[in-house]
Amino acid sequence: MGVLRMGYAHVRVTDMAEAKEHYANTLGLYEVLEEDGRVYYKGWDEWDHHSVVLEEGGVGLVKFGFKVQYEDDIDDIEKKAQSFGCTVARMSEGENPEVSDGIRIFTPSEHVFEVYHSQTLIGTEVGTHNPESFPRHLVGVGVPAIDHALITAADVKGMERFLTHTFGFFATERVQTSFDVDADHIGTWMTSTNQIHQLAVIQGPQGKLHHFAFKLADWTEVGHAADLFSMDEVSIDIGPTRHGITRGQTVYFFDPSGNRNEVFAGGYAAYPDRPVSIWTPDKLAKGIFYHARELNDSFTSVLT
Amino acid sequence: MPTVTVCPTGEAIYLAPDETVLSGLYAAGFAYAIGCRRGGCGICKVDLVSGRVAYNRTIAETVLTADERAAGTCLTCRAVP
Repeated sequence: MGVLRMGYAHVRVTDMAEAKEHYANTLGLYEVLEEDGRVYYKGWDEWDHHSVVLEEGGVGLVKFGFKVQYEDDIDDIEKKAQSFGCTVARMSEGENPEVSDGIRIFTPSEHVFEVYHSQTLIGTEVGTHNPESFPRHLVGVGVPAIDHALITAADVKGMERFLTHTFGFFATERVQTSFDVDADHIGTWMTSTNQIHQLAVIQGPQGKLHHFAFKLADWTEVGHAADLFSMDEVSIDIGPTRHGITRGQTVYFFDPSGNRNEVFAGGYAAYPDRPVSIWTPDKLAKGIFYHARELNDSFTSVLT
Repeated sequence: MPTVTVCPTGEAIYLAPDETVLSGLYAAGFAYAIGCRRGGCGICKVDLVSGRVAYNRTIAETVLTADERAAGTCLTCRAVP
């Protein structure tokens, strides 16, 4: 199977007390561990130990973890990353608490991707035995799970090749300089499953985070999340609105340190044989924000 | 009352106690590139020609370096005159 999903996002925060308030009480993630200046969280519908790691000091991305189905997938991805020319290091079990051994890939975009095959199984908050539909006492937005992330890279086409070669990802949507086959790529939305995107890459500085996103069910939940952001004085970037790209419904907002988050609902089912949707720069604003159809520079320049 | 004077017009903006420079400028109708409004992205910097600002919250060194502070760069979303 290879890569199942983006399993965790590990980010820096300038003030841990404020960050905990945001991720636990506004977003409603469950704190599962606090150790060595790091706080670990999971969403109520996630079964693995954690999906978000906060580390005090600075701002921006430390690394992402991608979970594979089988232990053997690690060796396969290690060879593929090396053959692509990446530096790859082995990581041992427990280097990340409750996470298996695996590899650490230093990507062409100068991000760190860890690949692992298991985490300590905690189980969802509703369990597996005649489960209820959701936990009765969710806090704040009550996000069920992490969904995807968007990063920036100098060479988007190169990153698409890397993710295709190494992770077996395929593109679902792209922003290109034109519809021509030899056009330059400005952005790519990629996945390995029916999920519309697990990781997107847009042109920009190396090693930066644009946002990481949490899953919601529909428009109603997205609107409800925006209401809660007003109650908690969260800095809203844009939304609620729809993305032309992926068709997802969204609110972009910032955590108290300035890392951009998103709540994301919808998106159509991805298939590797579905023709890739292509957007051109003259329609990019509609692609990103389907209703406002306006894009200011800060969408691509505000990064951590 | 904390005051921000905008160059080159000399227009004076009066801020509430503990109000940030960004908040005061936007309330007075000025617009410029801003981002996270939480001190993380560094987009909303302006040049501080004279005077002093304080930062009541932690700012990452990667966002506002010591050199920038010394040179008078002001991260407006967190700067309080």
